[in-house]
Amino acid sequence: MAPLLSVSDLSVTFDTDRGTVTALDGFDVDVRRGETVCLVGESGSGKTVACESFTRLVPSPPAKLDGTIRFDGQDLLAASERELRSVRGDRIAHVFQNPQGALDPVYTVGQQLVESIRIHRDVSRSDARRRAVRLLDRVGIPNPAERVDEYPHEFSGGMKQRAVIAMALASDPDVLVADEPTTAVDVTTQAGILRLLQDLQDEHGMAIVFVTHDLGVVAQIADRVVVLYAGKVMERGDVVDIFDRPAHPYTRALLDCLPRRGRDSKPIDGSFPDPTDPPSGCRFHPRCPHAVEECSTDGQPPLEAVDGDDHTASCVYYGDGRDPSALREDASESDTMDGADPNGERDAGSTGEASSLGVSDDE
Amino acid sequence: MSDATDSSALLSVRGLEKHYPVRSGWLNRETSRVRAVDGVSFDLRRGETLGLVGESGCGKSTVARTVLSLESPTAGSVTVAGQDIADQSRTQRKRFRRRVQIVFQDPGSSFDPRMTIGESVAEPMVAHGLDDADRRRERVESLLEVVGLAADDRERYPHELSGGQKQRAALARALSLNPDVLVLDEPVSALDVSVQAEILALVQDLQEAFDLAILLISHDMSVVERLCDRVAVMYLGELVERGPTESLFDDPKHPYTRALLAAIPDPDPHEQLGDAELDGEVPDPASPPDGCRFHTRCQAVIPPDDLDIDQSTFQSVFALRVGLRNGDIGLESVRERLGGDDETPSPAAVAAAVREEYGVAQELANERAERSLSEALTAFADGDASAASERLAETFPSVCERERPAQHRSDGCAVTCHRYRPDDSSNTNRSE
Repeated sequence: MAPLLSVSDLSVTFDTDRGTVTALDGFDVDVRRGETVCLVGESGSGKTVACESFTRLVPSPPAKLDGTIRFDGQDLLAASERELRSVRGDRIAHVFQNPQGALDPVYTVGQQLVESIRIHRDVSRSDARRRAVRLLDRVGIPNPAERVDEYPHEFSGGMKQRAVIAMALASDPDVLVADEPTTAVDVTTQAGILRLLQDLQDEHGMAIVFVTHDLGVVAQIADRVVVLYAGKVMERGDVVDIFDRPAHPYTRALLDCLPRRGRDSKPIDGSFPDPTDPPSGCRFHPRCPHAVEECSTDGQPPLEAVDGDDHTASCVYYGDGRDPSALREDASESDTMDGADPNGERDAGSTGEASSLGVSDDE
Repeated sequence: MSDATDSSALLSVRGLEKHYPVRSGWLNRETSRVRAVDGVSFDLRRGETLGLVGESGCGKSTVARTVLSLESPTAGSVTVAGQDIADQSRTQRKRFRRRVQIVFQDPGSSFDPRMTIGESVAEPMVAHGLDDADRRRERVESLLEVVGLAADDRERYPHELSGGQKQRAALARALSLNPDVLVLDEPVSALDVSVQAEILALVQDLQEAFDLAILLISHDMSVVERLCDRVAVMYLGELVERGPTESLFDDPKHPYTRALLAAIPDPDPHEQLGDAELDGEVPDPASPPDGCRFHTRCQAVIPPDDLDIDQSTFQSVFALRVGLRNGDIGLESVRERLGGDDETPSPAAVAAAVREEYGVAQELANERAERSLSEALTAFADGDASAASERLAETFPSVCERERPAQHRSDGCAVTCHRYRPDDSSNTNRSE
């Protein structure tokens, strides 16, 4: 099946006072109807920039977007603002992290829903209102016929996020882009919203692009996963591959951060690179326990097949004639390249996180 | 619930209540009270970490504010090393405040953007009279190093630091007065998972180095498990269960604790996403439900003895009953769902839709239960929701909504649930 949304070689750069920041570099993703693709990574990995570029929500300028974004045969990067408007918020809808910011406090939830319905569909006010009630009902707002007339502040955090999802559904989108939709809510509310998204997908067959830093959430909802680090794709594959056979050392490190029963979580050594001055070679090499000299030269290694074509990793240990078995050895036995890192200085804006007490990475 | 104060406890909270009056009308009379905290007791020893968990709105942050003496309790006491805050004079209270410090959830808003990190970390020392600037500077530098930052970071401004670094600086600030007790209010929920792991490791190291007593407040059970020796679970201002972390995670007793544990996303793609165990929202603390406060959302509501009905059927009918009572089911909404464009849907269709929404079988096996339910739904379809609610209340009552559960204790654990009644005690009513 041809992908509905196909992004290839997407780069997003920003010119800043401190130099050019490459937020995203050579990013590819295919999204098919009815599947959920998760973009995973830490803050600064480029995951939000990636999903906001799909509909050119990233303001440009200052951002510069390169590459192609094909949606249903149309190149969205080349499309005019007018053409784009029939896609953005319509066939590709967005849900953001903070529902507070997506709702206007001075209008009722119903008024806002009616407005978004009538932008996309030529229907009367009363039909739009009826549809608004049904949408609220669908996303699990109790007694929607009454609550449709309430203001956002009368809704709890979880219900606000549900209302925002209802607004995104108003246009029957083909792709729903959800950027950390459950990060601002309680774990209990999160479980309900994830369930809702999955039910909606089963009903409407829409594709979901889900952005998160939480691998626990990924395991629950993803079909396919793209792991991002400092603007580069580190690994991509089927969700089961990523969790059962993580190939890239960064993916393993991220999995080790997760608290699981009977095992302590293990932080990643070293610090997140400065976006204006990323390390040469593999972006993860300064923090990688398996880094060899080759890792710090050239650019980011190409994505090589790990096991099957759909599971690929950008790591020198993969590819023709390479032996990735070294990666499976215990990380602590190999030396880290951390101390020898030429890019280890602590610039403003870089996220220098020392691993534990007393291990400060001062110059 | 008022057990004798444990003499080895550093921080001791007994029967803590914090109510906020709701005033209205032109006389500004108190019309109701928000019972944010309603009778909470716990002890915290040196070197120990106690987790206080619950959803937003259950009162955990109010407990924190009261422990810090930022708020005075409506009733009950907070004692640190045997001294009650309420008994202290103004000057004593100031000294007392040094002993308990806090780190807040959002490192972005807990620093003044116009102050350098060094100034912020030094601020508590200035407030408590350490006037020697050189000594302050020295102390700030050593504190920053202790939390894994560089001494030079004192010159930087908050916007130059990442979230994790700011949270480290917040820990340095909290430690600047050598506190005995550290309160961490959701210290990592605003951070990336990878950074969370670092901060949690740091907290553990700091606790060992300074022999701190830590009160960790969180809605995330996985964070609590990582850090805490003991856990107290809070719901609507009350503690519903407490015990050592391991036994609480291995064998959670209270249905609310079980629901909280089930909500942690399982990092295993082979596990299917389960049905959310916890429906709805935390009820309004201004009018908390009668009986057990959790009964409106509980998956284990106890059926009446005289009704032969299985647990899951009773549970779903009871949820329907609660929905009717709270106005979560509206006739208009049900009709709208049935898509009555031209004509209003028949009462039978409405009844069927309500049953479906709550997962109730279209015909219950028990004859009496079925009769009562269908009468109630007929009344609802006629527009008389309160009659429907009353009809259901006759046949589907539960001890959980009538009586306050008593606390049941066994080997260091305590649970407040009707499913765990104190042995051979016929009167389960808790004296209030």
